Amino acid sequence: MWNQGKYGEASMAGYTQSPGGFGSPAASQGGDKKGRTRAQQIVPCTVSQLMSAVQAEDVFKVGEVEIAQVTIVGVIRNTDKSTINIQYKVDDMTAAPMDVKQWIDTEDMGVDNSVIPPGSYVKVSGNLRSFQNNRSLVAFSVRVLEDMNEVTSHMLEVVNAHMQQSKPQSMMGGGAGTNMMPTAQTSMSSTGSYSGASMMLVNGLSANQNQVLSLIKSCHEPQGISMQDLKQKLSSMSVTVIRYTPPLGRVS
Amino acid sequence: ELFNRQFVSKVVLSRNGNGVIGDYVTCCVYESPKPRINASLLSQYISRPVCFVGRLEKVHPSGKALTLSDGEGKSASVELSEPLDEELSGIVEVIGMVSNKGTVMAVSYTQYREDKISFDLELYNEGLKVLHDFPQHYPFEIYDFYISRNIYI
Repeated sequence: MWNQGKYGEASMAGYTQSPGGFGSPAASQGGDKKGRTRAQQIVPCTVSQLMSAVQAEDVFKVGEVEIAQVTIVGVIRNTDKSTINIQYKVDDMTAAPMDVKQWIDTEDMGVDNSVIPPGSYVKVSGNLRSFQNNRSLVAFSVRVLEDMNEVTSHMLEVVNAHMQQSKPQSMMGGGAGTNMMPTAQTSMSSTGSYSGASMMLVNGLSANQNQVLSLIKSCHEPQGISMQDLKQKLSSMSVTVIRYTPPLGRVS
Repeated sequence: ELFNRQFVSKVVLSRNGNGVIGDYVTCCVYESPKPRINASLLSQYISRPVCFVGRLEKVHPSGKALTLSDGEGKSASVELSEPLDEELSGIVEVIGMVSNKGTVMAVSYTQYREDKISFDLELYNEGLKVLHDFPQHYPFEIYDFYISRNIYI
């Protein structure tokens, strides 16, 4: 079920029931001209993820996850209304407030075009856009939260969505199961600390070794990750430590 | 020390972001990532911007200090630069810097509406644990892949 090793293929993890309004995932037809499946789901994200997303041609990716339509939840800090659109700045605490643009439908009098006041918590659904290095959301829905527990549920949905579409090796069992227990990706003590200081062995590898392993696994290039890249990303580890890592037999 | 008490006390409390914002610290907090934390994490975030959500327990008679309790029942002190000009109750979210005494020097607050559905603070606390357990999936930072270092906007 999981297509391993195919660079750029969006895995169709598919969320089942969710109050967050996810569309059902489109079937992976593989008919795309680049051999890549375009993401059809609406992905819950943080503003920081949207700002960090890597853009290749017209495609945005957050780690493994290809994103086009996204939802964010945050508080409105600023509003600006013109005759053709409403612009908001929405703050979800993960970065500076994000620019959100909502076009006003001047024809349709049934649509409520009143501006939502600052200080209101909203859920925004829209498309990520990048223009002159400026990232923004073009929203097709900006809805005031009536149930503030949606703040909590969005937090969990974001983690769930991005975790499910991480490397398949990190899943225990496939499909849409909600699995909150990672395997040997990074060292994790019960208090959730990530530094390499832990002496705990996970999967027979120390914390440092697990970090190196997960970085190697996360690199999609056929020639593998360069020593340079490894050194850069593991700046806390000396080169000696990285080189000394014993043979990692399970790197595919 | 950039964020000493005297400096922070000049921050103007701006409830909805539309108040007077001219101060460096206020701008800094609004434009920064503000990790969501509970009282147990305060000591790890000294001199950093945070977002703290809790139940209002007490308002100091001066109106310039609050006590909030988190989903684990632990208390946090919040200081405002100007006295409250309204009645607050229930669940309050503050953003601000953590002083070296572990109090939140608030630049802004938002009351969570509970007119239709009450907010489950204990569940939110569980959510916080998930965020801190999986920072790679809920980053309170921006990672620039080209420069390969963390940047703050």
